[in-house]
Amino acid sequence: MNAVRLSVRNVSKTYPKGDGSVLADITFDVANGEVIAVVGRNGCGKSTLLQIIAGLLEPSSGSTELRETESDDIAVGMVFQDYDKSLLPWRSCLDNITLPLEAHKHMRALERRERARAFISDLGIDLPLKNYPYEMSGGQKQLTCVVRALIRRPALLLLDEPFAALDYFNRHEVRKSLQSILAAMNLTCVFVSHELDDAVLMSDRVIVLAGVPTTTRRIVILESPRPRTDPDSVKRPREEILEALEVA
Amino acid sequence: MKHPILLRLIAPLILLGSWWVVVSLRMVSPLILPSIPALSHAAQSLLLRSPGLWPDIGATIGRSLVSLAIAAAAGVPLGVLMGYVPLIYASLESGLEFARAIPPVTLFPLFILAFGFGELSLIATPLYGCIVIIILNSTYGVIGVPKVRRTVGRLSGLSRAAVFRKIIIPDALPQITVGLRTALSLSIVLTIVAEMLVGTDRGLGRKIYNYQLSFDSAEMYVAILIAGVIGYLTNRLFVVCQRRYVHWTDK
Repeated sequence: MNAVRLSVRNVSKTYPKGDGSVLADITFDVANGEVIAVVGRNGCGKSTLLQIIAGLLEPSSGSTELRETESDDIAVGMVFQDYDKSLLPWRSCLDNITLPLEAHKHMRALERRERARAFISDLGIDLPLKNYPYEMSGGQKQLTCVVRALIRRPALLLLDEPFAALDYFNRHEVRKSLQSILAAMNLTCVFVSHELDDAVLMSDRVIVLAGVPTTTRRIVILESPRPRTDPDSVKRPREEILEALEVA
Repeated sequence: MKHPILLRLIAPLILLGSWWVVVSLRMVSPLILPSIPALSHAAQSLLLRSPGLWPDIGATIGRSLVSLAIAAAAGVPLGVLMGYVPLIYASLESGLEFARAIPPVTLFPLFILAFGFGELSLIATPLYGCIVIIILNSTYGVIGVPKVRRTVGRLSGLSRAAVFRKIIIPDALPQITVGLRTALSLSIVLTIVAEMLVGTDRGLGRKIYNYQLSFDSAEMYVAILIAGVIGYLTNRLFVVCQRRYVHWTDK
C-alpha cells in the first residue's frame, strides 16, 4: 500500500447565515497515486469539500493534511467546471499554461514557454498552443486548464466537475486524455462529479456523499485496474453507488 | 462591419435625397434648409480657404482631447481602486451615482465662477462628464472579474500584486475601454455645448452659434456636419484600436 498523501479528518462546514450544516464529519485518506471520486446530488457540498481541501475555504471544524514531497513544486493544482471563466481570454493557450510558472521570479519567458512545450509533448496531448481560448473547442479549453494545473507538478490534483460543461464528444475526449495523464504522472487526484460513469471509469474509490447535513454514505472500491473504458465492466459498483444515493 | 460599403451608404443617400426634394419643392424656407449648392459653396469657403474653420476645428478637438486625457488619467486609477477595495466602493458609490445624475452643462455657470471665462471652464465641463463615466466603468470592470479567475491566480502561486497586474487589470480592460469610448463621444458633445455658451470666440460650438445669429444657415450646417464627422471618425478610430489591442472583448 502506498503512503498516505492526503488526510481529511472529521471535516464539517456550517454557514452561520445559511440553513445550518453543509458537511458533517467527513473523514477519508487518499494514498499516493490514488484517484478518488466524490459523488453526490447537486448542492450536497461536494465542491465545498474540494475547496476546503484546496485551502480556499476554512472548515468549521476538523482538518485536512497534505503531505508534500521534494519533487512537488506546489501543493495543489485545481481545475474548475467553467473553463471559460477559468482561462484568461487575453492569453494564448500556451501563455495560459505558463501562468503558474510566472510565480518563479527568476524564470524567463522563453524558458517558461520551453518548459511548457516540453511538458505538453511529454503528456502526449495535442493543443493549439498559439490559439486564443475563443478560437478553441470546449475540450481543448478544459485540457488547457488541466495542463495548467499540472505544470508546476502539484502534490494533489483537484477537479471540480471537470466534464459538466462539455458536450458528449468533448467529454469523451477529455476523459480519455485525463485518464492517460493520471496514469502517466501517477497523480494523486480527488475529483467531484455528479456523473456516475466518470466516477466508476476513472477512480480507484468512490466516496458517496448524501444526507442532510451531508455525511459519507458509502465508500465504493473499484477493483479492476485503470484505465477503464467500458461502462459495462463496472456495472456492479455503479449500481452500488446509485443505491447509496437513492436511500437519501 | 461585414456589410458592403454600398449598404452603409444607404442612410446618407436617403438623407441627401430627401434634403434635395424638400429644397427643390420649396417646402421650407432656405433659412431653415439651404440648398445643396449653397451648402457646397459654404463648405468650400470654410474648408478650402485659409484659415476658414480649421482653427475652430482644432480648438474643439484640442479641448475634447485634453479633457478626455485628464479624465482618463485620473478616472481609470480611481475606478480600478474603487472596484478593488470594497470599502472605498461602499463609501464613494452613492456619491458618484449622484454626480452622474447631474447634467454637466448645468455646472457651467459654477465653473465660470470658479475658473473665469476661458479655457479652464470650457475644459472643466466635458472633464466632469467624462470622469464620472470613466470611473464607474473602471469600477464595474474590476468588480466583474470572475471569482474563479482570481482563484486560479492565487492557486498558481502568484502574489497579490501579480494577480492584480496579470489577471484583474487585463480582465477589466474591455469594460474600461467601454467607458473611454463613451467618454470620447461625450467629450466632443460637451465641448461644443460649452463653446456655445460663453468664454471663447474659437471653437465649432461658438461658430455654429454665431452663424445662427447672423442667419448664415449654410455655414451653420457645414459646421454642424463637421462636428458629426469628427465624432464619427474618432469613434471609428477608437474601435479599430480596440479590436487591435483589446481583442478579447466580447469573446
